[in-house]
Amino acid sequence: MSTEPLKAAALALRQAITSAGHGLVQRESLVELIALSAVAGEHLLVVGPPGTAKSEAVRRVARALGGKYFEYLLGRFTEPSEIFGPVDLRKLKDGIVETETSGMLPEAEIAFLDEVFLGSTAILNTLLGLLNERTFRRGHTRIEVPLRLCVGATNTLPDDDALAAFSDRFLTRIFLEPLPDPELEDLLAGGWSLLREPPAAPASIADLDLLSRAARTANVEAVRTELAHAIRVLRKNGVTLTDRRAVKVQRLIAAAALLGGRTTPTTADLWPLVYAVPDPDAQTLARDVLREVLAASENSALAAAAAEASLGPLARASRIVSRGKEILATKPPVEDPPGVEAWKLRLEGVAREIDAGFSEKTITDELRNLRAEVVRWVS
Amino acid sequence: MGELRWIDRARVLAPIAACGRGAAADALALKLSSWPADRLAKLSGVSVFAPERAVFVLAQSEDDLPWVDGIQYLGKDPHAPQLLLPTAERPDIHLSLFERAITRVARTPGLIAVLAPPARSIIPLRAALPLSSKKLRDFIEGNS
Repeated sequence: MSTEPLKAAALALRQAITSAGHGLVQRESLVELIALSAVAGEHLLVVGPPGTAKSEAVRRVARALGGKYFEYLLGRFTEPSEIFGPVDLRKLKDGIVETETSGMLPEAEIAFLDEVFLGSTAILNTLLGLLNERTFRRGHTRIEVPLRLCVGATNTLPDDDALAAFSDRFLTRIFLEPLPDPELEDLLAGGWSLLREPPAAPASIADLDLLSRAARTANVEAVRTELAHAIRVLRKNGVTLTDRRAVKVQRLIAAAALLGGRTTPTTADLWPLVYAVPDPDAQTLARDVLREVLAASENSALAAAAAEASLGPLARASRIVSRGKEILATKPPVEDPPGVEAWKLRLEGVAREIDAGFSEKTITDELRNLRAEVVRWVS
Repeated sequence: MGELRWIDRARVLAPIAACGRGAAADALALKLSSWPADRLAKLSGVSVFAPERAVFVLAQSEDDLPWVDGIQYLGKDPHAPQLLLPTAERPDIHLSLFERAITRVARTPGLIAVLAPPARSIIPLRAALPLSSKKLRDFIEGNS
């Protein structure tokens, strides 16, 4: 396959990712994972409390790709017709049970289902086929759906074993926390700009499809040995990936390579393995035990996600250092005592984040130096 | 049986309490005593004089916690909900077993703060009361 159209599509996706992430504070990884999952043709589960920009991130990526978008908040009493469409009453008179899917999930290219595990058995069974086989079956209706990506959201992972099969359909997982104290000013500024800015559509579903097709035929054999080694390291440390996940993670790796400007994956593209680990504590452990394996991780289009996957506590330290330096650089003049007081409070937030987040053994030198400077101003 | 080992947490806890011991306890009490009443109202606390002077402060939200050089932060792990544990370290033992052992030793209901080495303290927090500037000044002056 000629690489020029691929490069153009990858560049368009990169611009779409940047555009979608603008104004969303500390959610770059989420936006990047949405794009990665879409190119890989795998679904994404976002776990986090309400108000952590889950639906906004998906909406913005959908708008940036110009795709047909469907979004719904599921509840225990949600009827299947609210998701899939009502029964066609004209055909019902002839004894044919067909669903009118216009504008509903079966016609969506990108979908967001909030509180996805609250759906009834009827909904989840139908969703299972839709997510797995890209086929919608209900009554006499059987259609191939154009769904490229479904993002499911939930406050917490379900305990119920009965939901395990459905939950496993979401290969990629990201766990979100509310923003820490020092980043609240950025959140307020970013959120305000979100309310004002019209969205852009720098890419298209056609770009996405071109990259997806290339991802499916990428030569993953080049990194298979390293990937197998990484999975063995995980298993040795008690992090189990199902065989299904281990096989499918290759799609994420291939997608990461394409978005990073490579037609053939390298060891720089193994980092999505972390996001295929289904549990938050296991993901944190995976970051730590795979630190050496993922040391070469790099991706110019998905920088935040790659950095977070491969560095773990180091990524956290790096973020705090960056944030702390920004705050230190914005000291108000002494003639503005309330401003200085507010500035010191922000610095105290940084100090608290350092002291609460790192022990004597895990604190990095850069963080220790930052702390020393912060303490100089707030003690 | 050897001494219990403490290890770094893979995932740090969100802090909901702070503890100052020794000189840090006085610094913490001094700082809090200068806070306005509405800010103090969001906190409750316990002071301890043995085996060493210490102040424990509890908050509903991390944002309400003070910062003073030398204090430690504590949080709740879902596997040991009755304990307040250091946010960045944990004992190298299943936490539900650890909780059971601690509650048996402490013999008190309610939250129990557990400090890692070198402190190695177990402090019941059942008696935590809303903070006031007067109580904090009394602590600094050595009055219980």
